[in-house]
Amino acid sequence: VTVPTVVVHEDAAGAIPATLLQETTADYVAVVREGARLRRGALADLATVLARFPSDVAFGDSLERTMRNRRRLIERPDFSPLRFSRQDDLGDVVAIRVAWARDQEAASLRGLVARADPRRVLHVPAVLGERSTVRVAERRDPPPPGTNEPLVSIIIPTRGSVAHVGGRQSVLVVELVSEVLATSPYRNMEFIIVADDATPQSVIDDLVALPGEIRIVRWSAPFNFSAKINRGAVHARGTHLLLLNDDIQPITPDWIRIMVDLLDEPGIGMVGALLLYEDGTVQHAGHLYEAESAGHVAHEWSVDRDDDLGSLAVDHEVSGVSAACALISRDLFFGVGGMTTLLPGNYNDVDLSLKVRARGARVVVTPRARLIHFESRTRDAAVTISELETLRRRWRSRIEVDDYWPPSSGR
Amino acid sequence: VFERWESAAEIPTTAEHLSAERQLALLDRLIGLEVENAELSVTTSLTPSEQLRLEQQVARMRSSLEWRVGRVVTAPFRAVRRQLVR
Repeated sequence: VTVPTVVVHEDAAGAIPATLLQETTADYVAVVREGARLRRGALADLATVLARFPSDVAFGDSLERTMRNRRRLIERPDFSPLRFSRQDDLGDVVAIRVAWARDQEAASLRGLVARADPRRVLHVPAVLGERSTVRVAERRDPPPPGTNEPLVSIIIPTRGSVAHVGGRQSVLVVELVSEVLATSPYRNMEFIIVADDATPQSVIDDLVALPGEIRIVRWSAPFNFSAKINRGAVHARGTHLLLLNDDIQPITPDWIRIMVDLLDEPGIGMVGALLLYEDGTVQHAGHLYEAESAGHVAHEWSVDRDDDLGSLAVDHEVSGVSAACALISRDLFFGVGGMTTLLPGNYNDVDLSLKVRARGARVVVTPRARLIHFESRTRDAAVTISELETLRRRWRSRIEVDDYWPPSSGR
Repeated sequence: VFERWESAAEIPTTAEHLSAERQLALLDRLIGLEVENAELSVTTSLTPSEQLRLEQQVARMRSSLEWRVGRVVTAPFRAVRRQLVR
């Protein structure tokens, strides 16, 4: 298999020589980034893959030499348009299809990739480039906060549980709603509290006494988290649905604004937040799907720790997000049949995330929205075999290898 | 336990709401059947990136020590089976 490819080196300003794309007779240009070199055999690897899957842009993995002169493999996730808008993480060698690039009005690699259809951008799981130093792709600031303030319906399933939080006994749902009302600068929101029959009258009274738009919906059937969320959704009036557990405490005051702005970006279907345990370690930074099961990215990592790509410091696509805190548009939620009641306790958010992605929308997580999740306090997360089987029956091939968290990023 | 809440904030779930919930469940089952069906023809439904990643996973497994030891251990049985098939 041969795919004629010419190698070109990007200059310090990130530009590709202007005349090259016009004059070359090659099918592809392999752009080697500043400070990197092409790895032996890389062109052959590229040619093999591009012959099978013709793409407009292709990028691969890298080898870097660390301070201790050790070689470090940097594997890259699938192409993440949101992440690319915040951080050029495509690595050391990027192949561009010449015929396509000629029609684009861009002189830089970044400009070209930004114009590409994400479905035509291919990650090649092979080492294409290497460099003798460690390179951390620099990040760009996200856009300034938007002014659009759609009605957000915050759906909170609860049974009015009491827990020892922050050194005192609290009713979780009351604590959460008061905290959001007191600290969030986002004002256009309503709370839909889906409360079990067993929720004490005193909890209802405390909620009703709060100053916001709070509506109580009764849940009388046996526990089913998905069905409770769906019950809240059919009562919601907002264009945006924020699914929220009651054992959550916001850290970032403008977390709702950040999540709404992200959801309003084109192609994004669901937005999650960075959830921390009470001790400050990471509970959730996106889902991790591998070996036909589902877990969390960076689970129990210190909040200061990150992978070699700096993934946890930047908004980026993930395989899925936890329904403990997830924002989704009402239209999309109803378009995918809400949360599946076949999964009453576990993996319902995995299923929702995969249904959203199957519709062609992307699921993203933002580390700029941080909340504490007191997960273990309120729920026994024991997974039943039937739940795992239900998940596998639907999504077995999609939960085999994670698209956005490669092995070299750590577990 | 059934608490008879005395609150104007409680909104009743009407037949219309329940119907909307049933529609959600119905659509979910329909999507579920579609994706289960797609699982059966998975090679055509995977994106190129997903296909390459799965191939890499298989290649990794085959180059692992566990796989190679397993191949050595099972080699006599496979040889016998080949003879029997002939």
